[in-house]
Amino acid sequence: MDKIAEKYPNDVQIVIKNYPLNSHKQAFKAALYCLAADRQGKYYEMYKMIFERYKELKTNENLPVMFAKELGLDMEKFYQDVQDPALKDQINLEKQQLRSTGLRLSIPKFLVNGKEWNRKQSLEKIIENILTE
Amino acid sequence: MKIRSFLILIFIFASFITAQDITATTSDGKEVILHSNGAWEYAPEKIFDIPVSGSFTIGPKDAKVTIIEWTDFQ
Repeated sequence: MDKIAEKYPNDVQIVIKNYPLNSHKQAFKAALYCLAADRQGKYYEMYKMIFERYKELKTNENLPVMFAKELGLDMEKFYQDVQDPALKDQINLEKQQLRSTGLRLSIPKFLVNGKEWNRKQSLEKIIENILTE
Repeated sequence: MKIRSFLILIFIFASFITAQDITATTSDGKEVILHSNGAWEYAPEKIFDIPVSGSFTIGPKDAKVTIIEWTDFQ
């Protein structure tokens, strides 16, 4: 996604929605940490840091707290935001949005201009096709 | 006479049922339409209108292409 964002800064909007699977116990909390970081403008930084070390979440689900400190976030606000029920509601809404499509549930799931990306073509190819229409 | 009428009704109903197209899903998640004459085709691609507000975004809101990704940390 970084490459897509860099290659098409004016033509592509990327929307990241959470779908923490119940089978991944730490995933919901990790999503909460990302949304809490977002309130201080650091969603994507937190997202990437968690992704780079997601295996460690199994033994340390509070690893993102360390990342928050590294990012220089206001920790008091960060802790408060993590507890905000609105963030849980946001995650549940995003999950519901995917379920409402009736598409087969496999994560990650992508829609490109509302159509499911079936991975038969590269994202870049699809984007190029849309841009040249 | 009543039995005959009943059988005719059953026949009409059965014909109606067997003439219906059947929608099925392939193992890779694609929807296909099976026609009563044995032909089949992929179902038209669905377009979903998913609200973006409230979610994290990168790039311009009026971009020509919008990619939505549902993600999990796994």
